[in-house]
Amino acid sequence: MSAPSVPQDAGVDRRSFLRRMAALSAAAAAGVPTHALAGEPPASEAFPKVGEAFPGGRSPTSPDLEAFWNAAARAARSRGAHDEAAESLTAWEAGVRLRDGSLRAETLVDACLGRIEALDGVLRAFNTVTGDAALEAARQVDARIASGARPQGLLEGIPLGIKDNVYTAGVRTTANAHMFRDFVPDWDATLVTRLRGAGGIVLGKTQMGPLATTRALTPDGDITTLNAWAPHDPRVSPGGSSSGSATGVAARMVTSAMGTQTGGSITVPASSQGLTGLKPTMGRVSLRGVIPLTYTRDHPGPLARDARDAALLLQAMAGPDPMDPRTLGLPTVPDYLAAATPAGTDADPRIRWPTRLGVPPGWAEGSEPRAARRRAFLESLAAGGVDVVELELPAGWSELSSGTFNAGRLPERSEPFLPWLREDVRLFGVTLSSWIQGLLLSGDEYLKAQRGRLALLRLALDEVFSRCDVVIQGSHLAFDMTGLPLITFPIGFREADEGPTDTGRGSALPEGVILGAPPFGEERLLAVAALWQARSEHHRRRPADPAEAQGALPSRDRGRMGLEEVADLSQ
Amino acid sequence: VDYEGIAGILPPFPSAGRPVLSPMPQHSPHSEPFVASPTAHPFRVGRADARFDPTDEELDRFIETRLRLAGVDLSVLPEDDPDAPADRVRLFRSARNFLRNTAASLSAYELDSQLFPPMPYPASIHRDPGE
Repeated sequence: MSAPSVPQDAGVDRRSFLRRMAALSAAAAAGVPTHALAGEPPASEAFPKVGEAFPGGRSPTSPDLEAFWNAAARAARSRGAHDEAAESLTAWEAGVRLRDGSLRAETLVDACLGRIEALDGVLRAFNTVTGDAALEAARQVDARIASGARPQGLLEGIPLGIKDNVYTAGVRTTANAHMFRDFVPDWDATLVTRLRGAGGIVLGKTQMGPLATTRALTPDGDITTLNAWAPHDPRVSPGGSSSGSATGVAARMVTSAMGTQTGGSITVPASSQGLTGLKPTMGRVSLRGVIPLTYTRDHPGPLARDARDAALLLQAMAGPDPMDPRTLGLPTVPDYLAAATPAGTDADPRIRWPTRLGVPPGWAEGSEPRAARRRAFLESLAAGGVDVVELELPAGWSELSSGTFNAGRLPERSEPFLPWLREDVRLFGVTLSSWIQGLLLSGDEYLKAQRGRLALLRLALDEVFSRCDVVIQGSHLAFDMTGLPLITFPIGFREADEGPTDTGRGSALPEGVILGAPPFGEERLLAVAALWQARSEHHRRRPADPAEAQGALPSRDRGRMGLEEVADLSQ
Repeated sequence: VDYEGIAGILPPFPSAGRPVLSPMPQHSPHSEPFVASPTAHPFRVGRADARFDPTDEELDRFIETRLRLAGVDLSVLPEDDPDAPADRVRLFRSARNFLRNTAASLSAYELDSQLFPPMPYPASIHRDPGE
């Protein structure tokens, strides 16, 4: 497969990126009306462009689909994908089989719906299931293929879950909140339009933390969604707030899903459930039609079974949207599919581009099993050509990415929700505190937090990414605040008999790693994840189904979260 | 990759090789404007007025008044009901902690007024890649 000689992050003009972030911060600080609530087209020239140059002579290209599907077909054969149950396939494996005629879209959708029917009473991954519409869409895909048409879309016939804070035409979009309980948009969010346009089939709306704040709960605090790896133990979090998207993909109810991240809401649930989750650079995927939580930090992205699947979804969703100014003036969308296909051979996969990985001191040291898993991960990447270096985060990093500066996000949620706060604060259920806190932060404090984000971004660009291309992160927070991309994927499992806590004992629980990259470093992140996944099998492990005898626990029996706990954990 | 320091519109980062945040002496609030230079840190941590330690009642009055000015009425909440999703006791406790800790800590940070300015909207320094 051909690929650019350098990934996109190598050509981004970091100065113009910094200016753009400053302008976006200022827009938020000045209360500039956003598209989502103003309902008017934005001024497309409002934000400075991000300069892009390709020092390696690279020119932006469309994805090389033929090369991608040829490589995918070879990989699917070598992995035995034709012998796997339809619902266990990755999206690219299913795509290969739909293309070679060994799988029908209706079979795949029906298998997923069957699992939802059998398991969702226990796992509670979905708010709404649109089974009839999904089956009809699948039959149309099959009819087109039967008539001799080759599948054109990247996601043709692939069952998808959509987080319930994303507009879906004619289907309830509740954000799992009282005030949106009966809200039925009459248009699709831009990202949904693009996923459908790529042939994706929406199976339903996934459970989420109320208003995208924490793990999935009822609006009044009762735990709903369970982690697919520990369905017997509600204390094991499914990760929030894209909880249902993660549980749905992990439990094979849906092939892939999308989520949103303001404070870890893609990377945490993906990491908790053995998935590959990608939070793109701010603006890479349109937010039009996403109920806002924090204008300058909300990021939509995929939760998928591996890096190739994440690349498929991102390729379908990414790009400029005239109705979302955050997406305009950015570098051209690159070929993520090529990035997620390792170089080298099947027997000896290699990193696609020379890449230096920064590792915090002590990250893989120690005698416990977790340290051994981390060392195995680093050693495998090094064997694949990655340059692994120790990197200490610069002074000031922890303060600028602390909860203190993170409080700057709160007024951004209070402002658009003020009409509901005025109507009846009980509409916010157990999440009320963070909306109230947003009203208590003064204007100068909000502005200081915004300036702190720029200082943090500058530290990232000058002090971190001058020394490495991707960096292991213990927390998602700095990258949520600065809008830089993150990826997570499993590097092993904490086995059932392994400590140190009793939570989840008896279950093997996935352990993920979080990697961050400079602006528009999605290709680089996908390339590292794809290399690791070509050299390991952890991402192919699937959780056992919950025992039928467990039945569907009532919500109250799963435990509750209280007002102050939700405030402390709020995204 | 061109890893030169960010220059141009924004001034160079003055902290190279030094901490960007440093706790300041606790003996007095700062009285001089903070100016970063190659020999000074770009930020410093000041402190809010430690002599002022409001009571819970004073903070509750502030919170309620501020919210009422914004049109938000907390009287609809039960006073003290642990089974309710939200009640006044827990909400005010959470809000007081936020003001005493998070807001006060954020307020204490000092940033050089010449660094990291939120730029006017729309930004006036648009530059195309080819320029």
